[in-house]
Amino acid sequence: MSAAEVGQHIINILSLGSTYALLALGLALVFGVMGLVNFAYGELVALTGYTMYLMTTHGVSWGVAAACGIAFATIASLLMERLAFRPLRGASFLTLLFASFALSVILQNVFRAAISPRTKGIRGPDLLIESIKIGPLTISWMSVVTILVGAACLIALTMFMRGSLAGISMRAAAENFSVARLMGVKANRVIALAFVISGLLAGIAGVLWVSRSGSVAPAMGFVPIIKAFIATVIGGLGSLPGAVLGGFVLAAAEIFFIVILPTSVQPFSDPFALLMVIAILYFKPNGLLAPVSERV
Amino acid sequence: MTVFARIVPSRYLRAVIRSATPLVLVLVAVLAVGMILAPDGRGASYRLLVNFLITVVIVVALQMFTGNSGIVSWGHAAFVGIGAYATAWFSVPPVIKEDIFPGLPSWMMTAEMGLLPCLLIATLVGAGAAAVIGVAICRMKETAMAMSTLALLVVAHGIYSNWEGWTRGTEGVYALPVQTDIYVACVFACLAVVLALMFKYSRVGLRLQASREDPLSAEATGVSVVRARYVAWVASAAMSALAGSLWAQFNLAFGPAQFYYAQVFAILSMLVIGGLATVSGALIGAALTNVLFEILRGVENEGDFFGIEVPEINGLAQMVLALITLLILIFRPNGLMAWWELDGWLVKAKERYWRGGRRPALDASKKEEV
Repeated sequence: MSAAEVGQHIINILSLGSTYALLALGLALVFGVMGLVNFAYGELVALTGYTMYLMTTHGVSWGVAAACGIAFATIASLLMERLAFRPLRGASFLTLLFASFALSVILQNVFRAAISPRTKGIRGPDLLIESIKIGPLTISWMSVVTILVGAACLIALTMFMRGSLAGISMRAAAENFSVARLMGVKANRVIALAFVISGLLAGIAGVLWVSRSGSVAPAMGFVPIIKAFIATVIGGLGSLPGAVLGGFVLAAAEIFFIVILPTSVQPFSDPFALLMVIAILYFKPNGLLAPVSERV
Repeated sequence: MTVFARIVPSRYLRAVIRSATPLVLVLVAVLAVGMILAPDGRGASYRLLVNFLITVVIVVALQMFTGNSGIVSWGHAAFVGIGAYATAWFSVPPVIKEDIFPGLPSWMMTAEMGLLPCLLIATLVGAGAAAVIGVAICRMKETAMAMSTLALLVVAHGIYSNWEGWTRGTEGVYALPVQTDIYVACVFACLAVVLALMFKYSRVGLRLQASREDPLSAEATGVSVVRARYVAWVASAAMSALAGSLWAQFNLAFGPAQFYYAQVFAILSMLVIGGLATVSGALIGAALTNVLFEILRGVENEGDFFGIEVPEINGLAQMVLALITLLILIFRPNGLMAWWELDGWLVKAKERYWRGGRRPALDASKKEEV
């Protein structure tokens, strides 16, 4: 394999990995503060896609549609918390997981009934389809934009979580919810905030996802949620750096198998990547960067 | 009761028999209804009842693992699929097999087996696959385990859709012989219920339930949580594969889409609605959900709900089921049956309604959730 090819693959890993990392972060944030693995998170990605689809087909420009998509995902995430998860505050992991699964099915069927059960195409801006040549490398603008957006989000989120009072209280709540409340952190506010940021990340990742695939479908949320779920578990559920690392590890595993497998077994690259993930979990059952303190 | 105790000296068996009797009676009643409605073994209602009985096996199998261990498995649909495909490999007539499964080795190519050998093979294949996968999965933490079963579902779907020579990919399999009828389905549903109860009251089952309530305390009192989970995992996967085999030999044609997201959701909802912790809950959840699905499917197709016009909505049945699941989780998080098997529940109901509303003496221990 030549150096140029390796470079190409690294760029692919970075671009795919930053999408996964964004998705995983949104999931990990909510898990941190309320112990919920939000299965309906994938539907926020789908909601972003459908908002963009409806607006672009009605003549709104792509940029405005994308901004509205992100806004809608954020609002929907907040509504989800209010309507479905607040009554379940303090329920077991299993109950919360089932509830979010049910919610995800409801939303999928709303898309199916309200818009169309079929896959619909979205035309992205022309710029994203083109690519640039740097020496021997051909890089699509899509990858460049994805990597830049991913990096910007990660930096912004890190600054927010480390620097602002809200971010610090969120980290405290993730570490120990009851003690954080004793220190004056408002439970409702910190959970709502986690859902807002989670929705924002889902929206941003959704825009990237939809521009990459160029289509929306009612069940499209399933793939992103699985990737995010897996990435958070590889990294260690509850750890934010872990979620980012997990996203990149998953992307690397996927690209690796696409590259090394012969074309005849190419369709099996995803199963192989997942098996590798299970193998990682066999040796590190708590994930790569699991929180140190054992919850008793 | 003393006579009962004298006939069956083992307390364990008495508990199993006591809990199994009402459930088996319900299943036999379903059989009786089937024989009255469709004595010739044809028609929509017959198909509905047989599929219901097979669904009972699938849900009860999942209850064995998820109910006792408290760990959700999305992966059991994969084992149902393994059972179905294994059955197809050994029961489709060889002439057609050459066409649809070109990858099979010659000894499998010529095989054309009856009901029981097919069920046996499917169960063994399912158990074998689960035994291998379980080694990795059962060591993990609860949350990671749930995720890995989801990964398992995706992996299995990927294999079923792409392994052309053995599964015919997304085009699907056809031409299985009809070998399951209502009697077979009823016998295996009863068997599943009895086995699940035997497991629940057995030593390893009790250990597993202890680990569901508190893994750390269970471990501290000497329970090997990993081993208990492993046993339940393999047993319930084997039963799922058996159910898959029964299902395949009744529905005769299937593809990878039959063992995926939508099915997993339906099965999990049945379990949640009825109540995870009990076998009776699995049975009752399956029954209610099936009735609901039939009514809603009628509404969906005919746009008519007991004379009220309803606009055509795609996926209405699924949506209503999801909504009910959500409401159950909010207002009755342990499911309709909660901690009661049907026998205990009947005793409770009798005390409450026949003796002037007295509270039952023995209250179900309330689970404290953290």
